[in-house]
Amino acid sequence: MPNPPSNGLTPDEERSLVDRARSGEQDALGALYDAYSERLYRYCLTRVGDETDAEDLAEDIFLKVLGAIERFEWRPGEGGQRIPFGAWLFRIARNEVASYQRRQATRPHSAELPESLHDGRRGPAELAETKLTIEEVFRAVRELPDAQREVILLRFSSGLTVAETAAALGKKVPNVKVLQHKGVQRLRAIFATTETQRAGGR
Amino acid sequence: MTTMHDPFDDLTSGEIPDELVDGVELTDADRFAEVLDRIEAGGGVDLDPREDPTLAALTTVSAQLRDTARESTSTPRFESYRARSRDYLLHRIEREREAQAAPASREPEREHRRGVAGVPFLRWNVLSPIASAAAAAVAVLAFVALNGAETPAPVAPEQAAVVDPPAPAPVADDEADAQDTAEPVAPQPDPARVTFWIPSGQPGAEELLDQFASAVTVRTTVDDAAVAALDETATDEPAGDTPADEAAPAPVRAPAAVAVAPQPVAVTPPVTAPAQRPTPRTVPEQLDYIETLLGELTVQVERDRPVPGRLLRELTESIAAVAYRIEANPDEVTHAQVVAYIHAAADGRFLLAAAVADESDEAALNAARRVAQDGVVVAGWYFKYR
Repeated sequence: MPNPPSNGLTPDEERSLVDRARSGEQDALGALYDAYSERLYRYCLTRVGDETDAEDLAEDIFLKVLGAIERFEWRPGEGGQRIPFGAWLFRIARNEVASYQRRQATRPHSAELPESLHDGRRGPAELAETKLTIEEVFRAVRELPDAQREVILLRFSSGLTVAETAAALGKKVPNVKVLQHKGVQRLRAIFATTETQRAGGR
Repeated sequence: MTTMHDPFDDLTSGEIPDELVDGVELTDADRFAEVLDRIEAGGGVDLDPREDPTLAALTTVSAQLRDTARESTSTPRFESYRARSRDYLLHRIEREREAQAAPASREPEREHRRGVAGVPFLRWNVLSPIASAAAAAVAVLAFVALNGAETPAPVAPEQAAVVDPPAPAPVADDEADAQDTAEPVAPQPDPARVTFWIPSGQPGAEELLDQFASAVTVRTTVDDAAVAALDETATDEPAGDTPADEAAPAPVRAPAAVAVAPQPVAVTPPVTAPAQRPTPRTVPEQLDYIETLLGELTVQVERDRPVPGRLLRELTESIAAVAYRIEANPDEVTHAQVVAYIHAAADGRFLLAAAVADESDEAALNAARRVAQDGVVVAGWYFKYR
């Protein structure tokens, strides 16, 4: 049985929200923003590696999505299930991030995470000994091949289900499962290497 | 680190060719997906690492990914961003929809492009001096023609005509918000007012006053041309097709009473011109503008009147704009500016807490409250971390 949508809303609730938002209800637009803003921001942050750019991108994407929500259609997806709103949103997000990265390609920039994310709420000892830092994890994800990285980001950073991820990427569910499996396998190897290097440098 | 080339890595879309995925791989992927499904659905996973260490390790990695993603948004900065972004987006979408819903009015589009509702205010402020100057020029010419350039005759103070700037054009909704709530104002000295003294008993006085009428007519013509010029710079649409333009005041011709009246005759517009609101660009300008808006807000709150939606929206935009500057470019603001800002935001928060709005402006009032609160927080962080 497929999991319910990843936004905490039932399909009927989401549909109702989207329909109300399409008719211009501000409350419904706000509820959709609340449901997706955090995950969209995470997706952008992991892709671009800069908080300010991620904020701008996420805002631009929301403006496009919510501003064009009247044109959103519940098209049938795989197996007759309708394509969820989240998949539509992240499909637009992918395109926007790709456009952003094409624009940035001509400019030198750092993909390092900003200082404010380096420590977070964790103590230095924990950072050094027990866990990979956010920066290390994001850097590892960026090392993945494109297809795997997209699946990993949508699944674990943005929290989409396998079905939603498949709809957002225009792939079939089995493909997404295989890409997910391969991506996590590769990340496991990268993490192990990172931890080994850190242990060697200690 | 893995460096071997996997042909599957090259696939960015489409289907997976059968030869690239064997049955074992598909089974493993399915199994892993099932475990993740159970975890995401909130169910427990009875997974013994000794039985399947690989699957257990992959599950651990996926949990690590999720935790890291959550941590990246567990920051004060993100919370601040989300609150501001939400208000901004909802407000902007609302405004755009309003503009689409009322295509006959160009005012919302102007506001969208400029960021503030300023064009109509600017229009009359710019044009009043032009109109007055045109009238004055005609009067001076007439005066010279009647009296000669070198020996102007003394004027009798009891005969004067006073021409005021034209009444402002009827305005669109947002300005109407402001004007609907305007208190009756006692007549005040108007610097734009032009007073002409008519020589007593001079022949041709009536002709001169006719020329005043012409001057006023000329002034209106100047207004239209200048308005058209302003419109061309503000929008791509042709000028003169808005209700405001159509309803512009008819050319004010001096009535006959003006020509013969022994006392000063004032052609006074019934409504005072609204204050000019240029678009604030710098932080000091924005702070000044916030103070101006807070002054208007204070008046509304003290009189226990609903705060116009226009005022609330401009306050929201202005407070959020400075917060953004403080947060995004803290090096570009001074300590004193942030001090002024935190006071303004705190005042705004206090006033907005006591403010009331019409039902249609409730959302705008709530947004302004949130942004004012957020402004205090942003300024607080500035002092905490710098």
